[in-house]
Amino acid sequence: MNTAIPRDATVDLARRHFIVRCAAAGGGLALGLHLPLGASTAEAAEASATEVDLWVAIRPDDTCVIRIARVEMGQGTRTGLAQLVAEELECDWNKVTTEMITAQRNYARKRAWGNMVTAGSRGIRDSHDYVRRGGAAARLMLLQAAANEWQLPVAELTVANGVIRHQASGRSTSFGKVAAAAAKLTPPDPKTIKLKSPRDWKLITKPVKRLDTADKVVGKQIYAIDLKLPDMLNAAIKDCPVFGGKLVSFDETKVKSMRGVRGAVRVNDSTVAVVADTWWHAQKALDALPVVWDEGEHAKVSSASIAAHLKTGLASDDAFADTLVGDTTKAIGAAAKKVEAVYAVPFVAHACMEPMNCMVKLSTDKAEIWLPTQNAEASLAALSSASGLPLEKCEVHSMDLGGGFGRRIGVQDVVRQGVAIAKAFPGVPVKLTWSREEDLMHDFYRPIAQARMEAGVDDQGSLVALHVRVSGQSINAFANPAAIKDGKDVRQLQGLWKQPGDAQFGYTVPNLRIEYAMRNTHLPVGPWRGVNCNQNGIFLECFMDEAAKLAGKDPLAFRRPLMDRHPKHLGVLNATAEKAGWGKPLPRGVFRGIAQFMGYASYVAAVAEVSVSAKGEVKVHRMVLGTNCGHFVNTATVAAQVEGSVAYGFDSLLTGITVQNGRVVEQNFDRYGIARMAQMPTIETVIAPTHDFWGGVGEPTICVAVPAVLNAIFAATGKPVRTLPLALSGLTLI
Amino acid sequence: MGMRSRNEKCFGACSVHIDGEVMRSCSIPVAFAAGKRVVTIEGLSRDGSHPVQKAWREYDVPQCGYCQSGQIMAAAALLRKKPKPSDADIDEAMTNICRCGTYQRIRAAIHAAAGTGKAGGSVIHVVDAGADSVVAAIDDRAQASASGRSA
Ligand code: FES
Repeated sequence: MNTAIPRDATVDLARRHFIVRCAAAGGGLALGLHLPLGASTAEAAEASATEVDLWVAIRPDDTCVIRIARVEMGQGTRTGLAQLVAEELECDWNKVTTEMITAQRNYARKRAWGNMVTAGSRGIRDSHDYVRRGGAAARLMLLQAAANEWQLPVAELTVANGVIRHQASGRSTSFGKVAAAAAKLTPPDPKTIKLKSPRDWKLITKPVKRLDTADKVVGKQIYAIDLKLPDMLNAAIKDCPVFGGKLVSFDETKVKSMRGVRGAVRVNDSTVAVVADTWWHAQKALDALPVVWDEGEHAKVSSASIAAHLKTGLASDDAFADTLVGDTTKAIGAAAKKVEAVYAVPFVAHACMEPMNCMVKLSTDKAEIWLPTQNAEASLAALSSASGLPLEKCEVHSMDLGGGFGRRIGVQDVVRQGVAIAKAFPGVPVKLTWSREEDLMHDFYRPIAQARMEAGVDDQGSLVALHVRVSGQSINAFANPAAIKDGKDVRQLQGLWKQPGDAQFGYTVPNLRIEYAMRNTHLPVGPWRGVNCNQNGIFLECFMDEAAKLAGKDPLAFRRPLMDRHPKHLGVLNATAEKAGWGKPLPRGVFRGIAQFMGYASYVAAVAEVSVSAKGEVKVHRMVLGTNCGHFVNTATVAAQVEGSVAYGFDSLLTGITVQNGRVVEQNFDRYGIARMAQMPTIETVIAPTHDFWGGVGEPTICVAVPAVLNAIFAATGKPVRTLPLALSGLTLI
Repeated sequence: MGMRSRNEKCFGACSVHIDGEVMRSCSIPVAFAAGKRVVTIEGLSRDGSHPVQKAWREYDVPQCGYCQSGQIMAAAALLRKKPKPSDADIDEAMTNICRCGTYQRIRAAIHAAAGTGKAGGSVIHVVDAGADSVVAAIDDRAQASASGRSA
């Protein structure tokens, strides 16, 4: 399924590191299993398949090759998109295979396959319409081709499972037999196509098996990091440990004679690389390379100084209010009871299992890269600008990702670095692979943020005023300043917006002020699974529980009356609470927490059951997470994403990136905690669809998973958790 | 190796079996492995017919898949030592990390491969316009764990 494997590639199917280690030690174990590939399977498929339309090609043996323009990074999009096309195509699902569209192909055909970005939980929700139309158009063309052959009115034909029949005459044919004739027909105007009513879906909504599982359980799945090209070299890289610092000099002569080393390269004004025969040799030489850095003005920055900087944004007058209803100051002043709290969340890293990597091969008239990317078109543009070759002469081989989570979207740092290194070795493929240390130290982190929250409740226990002041780093200021209009960066308030549709605040409060004060740091920031909704979900939903306690009310009962005008928010909250058994007795020592939020066009809620020992050991026993994502494609995939979002959210409970002397402290998994099996609860997924929109699935539930757990801890201990990671509140996750 | 792991900072993506023990290849000196039977994921079975691999397919365990060879090797080693593992045994043995968070299905697949009768998997409630049904995404046994608690 990888179009990326070139004709002359050899692919190492064995556990690479073991082999590399053996090679490094000069060991005699020959485990390497090099399979010369005459042509990749996808290329072979392409050669024998007839393109019916953009989305469907059919082989003579009736195999339907469904084209996919979004990447697979574990989220199940490939299977989901194939289901959408196949539903309208009426093919035999057992004969479906898929083919990745490359960025070059999309460019050459004027972006016929649309946007290729795989981020923002958009893989399905942004392309469901045109891919279904693509499947339907192909079906209509195949039917017409059969009708033409039989000289019958097309209306008399029926189709199911890739077989076209004429009832009256008993004739039948298959997609593979009529594909060539169908391909010659003019495709129908997509706008005139009537799509199936969701009521008639046979494949969409079904938990069909993933198309990518088989390869992944036998070690056949090839990641970019596994690729080997003939005569390739390997590069290891070091960027100035202090962000914003500069590379002054390095002494190549000290490492030049080390085993396998081909040279050291100045990559850019802050980065040096060593190139060698193996990655291990390159990294060893890099470790030994004398480097002089100019650490620059940020060398004294620490987590404490960053926290102090953010604190200045909690009460400053430079904030902008995105939502302003009534007069919160007056209403809180006059309220029967009031509560104020400051919350703080750290930077967190993506820590994709597959570290950043990029294979580059440059010649005078062709530039090629192989990499995991969430945006192959941005990779193509970066390749073109870095290599100086026009887009037509560039090719991006986008490999299935060993995790993405937002790290590999817009920032194409690894492409620019890889090209700069490969320029020193024209014609020779060079694979750049970051060490785990580099990966954690030079990420684009989830923005650090604090929030000052104030609430007033009346003597009936109703919330009469809420003031949310977020102070923290802006993704746009770092990545896309043009998106900030008049100094107002609404993106940092994602999930607290008044506008419906994507990430709407779910409560009606008579006096409401939601504002943001930008406080940037020298660390780069970017989207991290659940972008901004993450921390805003924690701030809002944990504080709602503090307000509920102030009001003397059950957290669910406190929220419900505030949600009358947000029926979808309320609907999923109620469904989740019901499935979780909210209010029902629990074993002694177990407490519940609840949260709701909206993000990526989906309405989500969660209930956690937690116990906390006297020593502060937090055990999460069970979680129930609900989503109204409008339509859903595959229940099993939705559940997998919900389950995964809990684990990813737990990682952010366990750990954070801290800064000392301007650099990241947590440089490997010994200090950067990732949740393990024993720490995971039993997870149940509630799908509560209203079938009137398409919402995202990959990210939204992370925004409620964390606050639900924190609220359960609050219920158990009586002490709100306002600072993450948990260790800062004297808690551990067991 | 630094790429996937490095000794104490390891997360197990490179797990192999050496004389039947699961080990992380990143931290094994070659001299130690010499003369021993080294099995990588491909050696478990060529065609994916090992019971653990079958269960992995049945439960659609992998997401990105990057960690899965290591997870499968760890699970196979666990079952060799403890043919009927408890949840606590699984917690103890399965320390490889998975950034995609496939843990619930890993647990279910191990139980299924071992035939402990405890296989759970994804628990999915579809609450649809009044119609309320529990859909077992993976198989009927999913329902069994609907009221379960992790140990
Ligand atoms: S499946 Fe992606 S890290 Fe485990």
